[in-house]
Amino acid sequence: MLQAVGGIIAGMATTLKYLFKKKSTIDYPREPYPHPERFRGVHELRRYDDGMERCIGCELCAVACPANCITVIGAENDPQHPTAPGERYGYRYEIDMLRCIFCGYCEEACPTDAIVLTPRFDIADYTRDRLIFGKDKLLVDDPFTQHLANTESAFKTEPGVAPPPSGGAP
Amino acid sequence: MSADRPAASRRMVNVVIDGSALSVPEGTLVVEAAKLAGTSVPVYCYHPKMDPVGLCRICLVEIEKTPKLQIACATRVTEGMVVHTSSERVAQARNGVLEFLLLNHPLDCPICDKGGECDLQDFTMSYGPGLSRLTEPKLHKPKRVDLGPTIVLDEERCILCRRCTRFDDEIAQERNLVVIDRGHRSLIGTSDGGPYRSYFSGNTTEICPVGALTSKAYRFRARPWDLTHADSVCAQCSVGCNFRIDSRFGRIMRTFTRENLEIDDGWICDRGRYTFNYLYEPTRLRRPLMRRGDDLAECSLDDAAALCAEKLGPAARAGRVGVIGGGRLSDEEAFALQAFARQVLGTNNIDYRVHLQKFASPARFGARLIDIDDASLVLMFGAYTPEQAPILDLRLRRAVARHHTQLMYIGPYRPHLPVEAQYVEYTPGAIADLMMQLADTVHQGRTESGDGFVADIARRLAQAEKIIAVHNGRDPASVSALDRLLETLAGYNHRVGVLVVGSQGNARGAEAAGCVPNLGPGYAPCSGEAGMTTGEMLKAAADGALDALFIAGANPALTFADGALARRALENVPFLAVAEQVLTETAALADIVFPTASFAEKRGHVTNLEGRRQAFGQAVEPPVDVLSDAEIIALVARAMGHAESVSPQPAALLAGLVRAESAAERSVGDLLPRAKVDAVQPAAVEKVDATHRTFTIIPVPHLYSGGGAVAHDPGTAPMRPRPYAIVNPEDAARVGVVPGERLTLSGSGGSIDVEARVGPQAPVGVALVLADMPEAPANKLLDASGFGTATISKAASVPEQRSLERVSA
Ligand code: SF4
Ligand code: SF4
Ligand code: SF4
Ligand code: SF4
Ligand code: FES
Repeated sequence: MLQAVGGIIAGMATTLKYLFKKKSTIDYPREPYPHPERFRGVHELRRYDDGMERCIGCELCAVACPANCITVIGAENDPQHPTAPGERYGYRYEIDMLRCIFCGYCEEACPTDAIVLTPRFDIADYTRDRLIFGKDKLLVDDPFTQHLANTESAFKTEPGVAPPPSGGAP
Repeated sequence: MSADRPAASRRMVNVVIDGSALSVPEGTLVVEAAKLAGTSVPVYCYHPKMDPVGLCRICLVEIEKTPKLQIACATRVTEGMVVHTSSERVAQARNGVLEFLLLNHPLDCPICDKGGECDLQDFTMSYGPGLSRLTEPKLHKPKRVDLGPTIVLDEERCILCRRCTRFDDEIAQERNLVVIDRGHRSLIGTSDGGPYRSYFSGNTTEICPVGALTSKAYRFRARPWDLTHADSVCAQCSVGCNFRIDSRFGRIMRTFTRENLEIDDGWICDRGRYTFNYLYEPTRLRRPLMRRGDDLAECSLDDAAALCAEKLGPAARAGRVGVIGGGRLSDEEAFALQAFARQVLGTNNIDYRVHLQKFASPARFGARLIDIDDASLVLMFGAYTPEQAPILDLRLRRAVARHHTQLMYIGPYRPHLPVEAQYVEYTPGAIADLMMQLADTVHQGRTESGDGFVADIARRLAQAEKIIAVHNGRDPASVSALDRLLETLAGYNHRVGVLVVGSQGNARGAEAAGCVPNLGPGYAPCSGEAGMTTGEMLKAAADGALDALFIAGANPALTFADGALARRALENVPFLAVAEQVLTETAALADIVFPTASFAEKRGHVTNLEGRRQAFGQAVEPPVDVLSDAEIIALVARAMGHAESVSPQPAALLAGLVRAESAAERSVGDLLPRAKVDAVQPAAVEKVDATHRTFTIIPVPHLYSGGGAVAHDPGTAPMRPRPYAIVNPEDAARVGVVPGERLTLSGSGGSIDVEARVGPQAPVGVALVLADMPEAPANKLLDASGFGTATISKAASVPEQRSLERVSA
């Protein structure tokens, strides 16, 4: 008998304790989910300081991708109005987000640190088509996240540059 | 190993390579012996088709009893040699060589077109250093250098192996590509400082072991691992080089050689390599067209087939119908076309010959391409292989340069050949005569005593052990005279052979499949009376004696000798149906145009000039409404209620063709029957009055001339010549022709505007006019003999630029 009462009290104590503790659920989507810094979510394609695209259309991300969800088509830069430094740029770049397993291999393969995974993950949509992200959705134009990608020149990105903390522009 | 390595004598020597003992012919290079032993030695400068130079040192191997490492690519095996290709010392040496090669290398791999199939990448991964010790800045050299119309050069990536310059020297014999400057400042360039123009330039991009030479057509289009490969055969000329079509997302990205030692020896020419982008141009036909008044409007395939059936049916019943074409189709389709003519239309009026060519095969003494390699004398007339069969010409150049083959060119004008040749100026009509005289001289054994140039040629023939004749089957009289000459020579124990250069890629296949008026498949005489030849059909059509013409894969308006007649015929014939890939001069006059699939978009077989039937596979899908010629023929046959007569399936057609051929083999003996020819024989070119402005017109071929695919291809556009006429300096001075100015040539069938050129290759009184150019069709000036006369005057105004966008998509 006494044992039973003791059990109830212990149980209620736990309940009471958590009643006054900070809640572990969040009011998503009104409140953002705090990601660990190295969370691997939706990709973005970054630029250099001067606005040039980093992607050179080399397709190394596409070969590295185990899910085979990246399609790249390269093209030659117009020397007068280059899109990326050097001779070649990524003319088309597409990731099928439905097939991506967010492994981050593409990021590792990229010689110019053009493609990076961001902590953004909320990409639910109504059609499959809209979940194939092209350059329009992947390319960052946001000056805020931009500075994080800035380095002097191609192929010399400092190691350990972290992806931007919050989701960049889609 | 190619045939001309220092004759590996039959004596065998024993060697041990990496522990495995084998015996190889004495004189074999260590690198080749290693291949036989199953080990591979890395090489950059060595190429199996070229002489070893020992430049790059990557191939260092250890040979016992030799204190220093030796280069495997230039060391020949000797009895008892013991070779180690992967010892510690060798590994160290390779590592060092690679470090040197990478010293100033830009490591552009991610943007380099070679990346993924690059020997520098591969060997660095296998044998090279992982890190660079260089702390100084790298040496910079020009990048993105425009080397010529087809090639981009990156000097920084070049490892100076000189494969490209040696190709241009040893294989193409053109000696234009050279190394400029010395040491680490060396650059690749041309000897004259101008652009690198060659019919074989694309091959240098393949043999360059790194990404220094890349092709403009393939620049940044794909990476090697993206590509889907299909084995194919080039159908641009009658040599039939083997190549591979690489495609991505259903679109052709590039073509690549597929070595066949007996045909192409591992090379292809630039016309074959780069003519594919026309398929993606707006001028490519994608929908059937039907005539509405003066215009051609799009229609459905069924409507087109129904109209064809409606018009061809009555014309066939009246026996007033003709079929032209076959030389540009596959063997299967040529068979389908003749079956369509004979079984569905019930006529023998079928002919593939829309050029001057009369025969596509030698009646006897058929030779193989490899027979050129060890020929003692090559006798060429009519055909002009540098422009008409480039890869055959490459073989010939090599034979002349390396094996002391004599080349004798008989023709009306001096050819431009990169190798030494004896030129015999002779008017085409008189060649038959010359052959007869030669035959008599040889036969009567008068070769030693006689003088004059006939005896001189006869003496050379008598001294030659193996004689190969190359012609274009154009003049029946000289062809039979040649046969007589060769027979005489064969009687004196000379080895003889004949190669007939086809006017179209599959001329020989079309002839064998029965696309001639008097012979069915397999050269069996066809049942019933012989039909009309192309010339007769066009004549009949012009005179209103034919009600309908069906043309597949032929452009007589531009290529038929008597251009005026062809145009009149095509305009006058009440119903003209044409199957084509682009709107050619002939298709523009049609009542119905069917869009057809290209060689890359179908499968089948083609027969090359030796008579070798080769299979080609399908690389990409054709556009929706575009059918292969066989499917179009079958569709029309079905609309006419003869569905069973013609199958659209290549396999079924081939089975039918093979069956017909083996049935014919019993009746046809060793001597192939000849196709029926027109009565007109080539007239002797007459020298005209030297004070007059009238010139004899001789059309000259060019690799990039033609009105079909090649005229609409952006890839070959920079190589395409502008229409020109060459006159002798003497004539130029006489009538006041200045090089570069515009001339108007007026002949019986109209006039054309061309650029004036002056050169000694044109005999006095003759204007050499570029043939088969849609902008200035030379056949306007010619008659059925293939020659003509025209008056030269200065052009009145600037020529209008003819637009290629003639059909609204
Ligand atoms: S994260 Fe992985 S699966 Fe997704 S695109 Fe990159 S490589 Fe492919
Ligand atoms: S994102 Fe990076 S790896 Fe992918 S194509 Fe562009 S540059 Fe190459
Ligand atoms: S040539 Fe080879 S090693 Fe050099 S950049 Fe190109 S792929 Fe890399
Ligand atoms: S361009 Fe290529 S083939 Fe020519 S020397 Fe340089 S590396 Fe060799
Ligand atoms: S391959 Fe032997 S030295 Fe270059």
